[in-house]
Amino acid sequence: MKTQHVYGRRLVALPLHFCKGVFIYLKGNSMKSFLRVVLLSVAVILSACATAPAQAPTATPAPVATMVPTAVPTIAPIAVAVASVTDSAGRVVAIPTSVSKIISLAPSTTEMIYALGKGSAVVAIDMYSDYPPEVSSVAKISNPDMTYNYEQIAALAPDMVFAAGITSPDVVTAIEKLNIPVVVVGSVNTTFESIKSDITLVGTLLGATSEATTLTTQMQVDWDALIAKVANIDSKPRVFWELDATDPSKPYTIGAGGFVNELLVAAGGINVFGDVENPYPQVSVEQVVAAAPDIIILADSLYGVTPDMVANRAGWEGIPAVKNQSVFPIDDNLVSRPGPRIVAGLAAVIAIIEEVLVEVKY
Amino acid sequence: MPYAVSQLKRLRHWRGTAYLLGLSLCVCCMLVATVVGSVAIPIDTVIRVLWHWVRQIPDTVIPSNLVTIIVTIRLPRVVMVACAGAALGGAGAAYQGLFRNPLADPYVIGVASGAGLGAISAVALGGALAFAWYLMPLGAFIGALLVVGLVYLLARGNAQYTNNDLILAGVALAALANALTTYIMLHIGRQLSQLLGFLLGSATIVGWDAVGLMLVSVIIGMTMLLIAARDLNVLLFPEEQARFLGINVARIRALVVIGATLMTATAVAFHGLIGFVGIIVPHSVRLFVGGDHRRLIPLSACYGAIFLLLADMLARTIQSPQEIPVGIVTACCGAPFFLWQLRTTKRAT
Amino acid sequence: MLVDIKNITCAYQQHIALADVSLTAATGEIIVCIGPNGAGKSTLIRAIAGTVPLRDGQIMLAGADVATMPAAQRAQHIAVVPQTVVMPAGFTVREVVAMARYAFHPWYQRHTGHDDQIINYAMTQAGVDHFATTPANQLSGGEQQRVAFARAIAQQPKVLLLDETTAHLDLHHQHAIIRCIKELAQCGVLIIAAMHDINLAASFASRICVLQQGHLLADGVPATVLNQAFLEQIYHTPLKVVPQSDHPTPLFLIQH
Repeated sequence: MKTQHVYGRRLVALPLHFCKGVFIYLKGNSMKSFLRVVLLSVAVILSACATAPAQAPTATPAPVATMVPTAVPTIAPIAVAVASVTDSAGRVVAIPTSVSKIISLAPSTTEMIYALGKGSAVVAIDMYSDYPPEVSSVAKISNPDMTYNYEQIAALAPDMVFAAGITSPDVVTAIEKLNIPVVVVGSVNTTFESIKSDITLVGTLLGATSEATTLTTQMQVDWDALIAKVANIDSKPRVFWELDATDPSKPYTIGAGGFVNELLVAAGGINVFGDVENPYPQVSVEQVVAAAPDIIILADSLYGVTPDMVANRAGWEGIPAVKNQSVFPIDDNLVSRPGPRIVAGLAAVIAIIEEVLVEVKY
Repeated sequence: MPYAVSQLKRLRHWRGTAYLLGLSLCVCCMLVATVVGSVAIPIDTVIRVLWHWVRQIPDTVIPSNLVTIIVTIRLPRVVMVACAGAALGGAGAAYQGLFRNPLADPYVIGVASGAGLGAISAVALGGALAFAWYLMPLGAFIGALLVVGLVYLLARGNAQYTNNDLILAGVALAALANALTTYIMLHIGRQLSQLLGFLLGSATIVGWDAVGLMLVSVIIGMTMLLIAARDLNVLLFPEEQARFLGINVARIRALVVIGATLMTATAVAFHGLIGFVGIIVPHSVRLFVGGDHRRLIPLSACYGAIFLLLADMLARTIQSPQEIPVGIVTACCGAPFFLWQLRTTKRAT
Repeated sequence: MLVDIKNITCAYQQHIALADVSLTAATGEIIVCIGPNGAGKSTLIRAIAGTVPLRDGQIMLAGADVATMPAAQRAQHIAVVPQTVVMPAGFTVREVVAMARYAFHPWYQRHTGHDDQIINYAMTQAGVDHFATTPANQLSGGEQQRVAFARAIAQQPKVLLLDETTAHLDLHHQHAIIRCIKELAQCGVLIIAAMHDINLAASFASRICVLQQGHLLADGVPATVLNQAFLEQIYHTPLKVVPQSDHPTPLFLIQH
């Protein structure tokens, strides 16, 4: 009982003891210099502050003109019919009544906006957006490591920001902190149907409902026509889809579950790794040789990989596709971006498969 | 000898100005860091916005997006950077005293790697649930404490532990922690971008709640270190001699380990893995004010904050409008500076 | 009695370093422990200082048990000059000597003018006052030893323990330290020293304790304890005895 009392008293005395300690410490040694520093800092801040408000009434500060990264396109504000939408990530986003400045954070959303004819409202894009060609003059607000420059985004003061399924949730939260509405368009589980509904969503938000309907209808017509072309191929070719073979002994490819796999199957090919449960598996060159693909499609051709380089890789020469020179580059941007050009992507895959089938026939 | 005497007299002269210079530089750097950014905002506008923000008065003249840039993006980041720099500098000085080794930086003895592993494990385990912002610092603290405890136990396995045992144990555990971190990252690929940002020193917007937690941990950690600072001087002698001089060795070690680890872990959790601050800053400060931890620890914290603020400013502006991870800048400035200092110190003794 | 050692036994794992040693010592005494290497001299010093756990027995300091005393309180009564001291980098001699005063104040208190006087006195006594602002780690071995001696004096101990302290010192400083020890003893400080030099021990000790393999073999004034037959038996070495006209004990030299 007695000990308890003593400890209780100590516990109460502890903060007092500490404060006293700090005081004595400062007094004993550096109180003077500490006070000098505090006074100096206060003086610096006060003098700085004293000058700033004094100027304010005489003239409005004119930093606005210097701080904006590029000239802002001026278009008539778009009236938006809806007050809020549920985006692809399931978030309910409040939408301003009129929109004149937008930012796109991904190539897919950039392509959708331009395909709907609303490109003039775009004030900034991410550094990977490169289509249509006129985007080259638009300001870029992302860093090479997939982060974004929030200062520039805030400075541009957009009415709305479009993010994609690949955009990190952190980025979305960060931009929301700037009080700018962010709409996520598309998810990681892309299908042809989801792309069409994404385009419809963007159309709704940018007052382009009829343009969206026209676009999606046309896409469906083209898509059906392409599917019909390959519907009666009886001998389907086996395809190895090369995503990245920086290490030729362990290339990355596509497995089951991804949209590119769906596209390949729709085009009448067989993915040799279609039974692997991972959408983007890393396989060994031994597995590639054992799978004996008839066609190799180089989705990494944009990074400079050519069919000749594949032929020179050690261990790859025994693969039927290499022997028969059925190694084809493809424009990866057509197939990997869940946007309006996906139909062109399907056409490109079908073109490769048809070319091989024709060769085989003769 | 005459050289050394005059050198120490010069050092004594430095001691008085070191606090003054440090604190005023720190305030200036924080102000400049708030002014500098990829969007050019004049200094008078920045000061005006800050002044209105401090008084909580809405400003009708300055455009609201500029206020957002200063108050929501720059200010929390500047405070966070200053806190992280202070934490790493102070903790570095304390670890070097505790382990009697000038190389005992939070990185060398594996504390930071342990914190990284803890933070990543927390994200991996908590990723299925809603992502809680305090999960990462908590995991980081537990991971860091585990590593520091293990390093200590391993190094003390033999009755007479040497400094080399300690460094070796730290290096081995850091390698293990890094391997496990990589393994976990490969297994939860869908959150990879989030984790990558964490490892390189994230460039996202810092919330005030995180800044508050960082500030609290720095205050608690620094208080513990300052309580231990005087007696840490005696721990530079062998343990038995410290006990002859009346030091409660176990208590001082516990204070230093917990305080320094707390600061390192929160700095790593909120600002990513940043090297070189904890080794260069205390080393340079020691050259100017001597080895007394009562001066060394607070001054290392102060100059650590300055160093990291400058590095962060450089990272934000060197490749404007793009930003590069601050860890790259600290390493690029840090390594040559460290080598240069190594040379000059050798010549002086 | 200031120090009362009651039947203590100390051991490092299996090795018994001190076996059932009892000793009492009063203020002002100068007790020198001699004995061959491994006799337990250093262990006795460390046991009194409270840094070696006792397997058995008890050491009382003015009626209080040394083993249960808080470290800071113990350091206000007992000071030790260790066998070897390596000074850390970044501290001046004065700063190292000032560490002696840490145990007298809580962490937040700086030392007072009174502490300064004690530090100055200690540095003068040990003859290190003219290096006060030199970095301690740049001194020679003997100079560092004297800094450690100054640090021990600055603790203003009731009991001063010396472990082979004079081994690294030149004749002049040996003499200075011995004179200083005698002065401290006259002021009522109990000195307990471990030493190899029998003649030096005999010249200033008020009591000599002889240890061998952890056992206390003899304890008494130098003139009775130090005799040729006993020393030859302990050290297994033939000795030559040279009588001194001005001192009750003769000089003992190795017979080659």
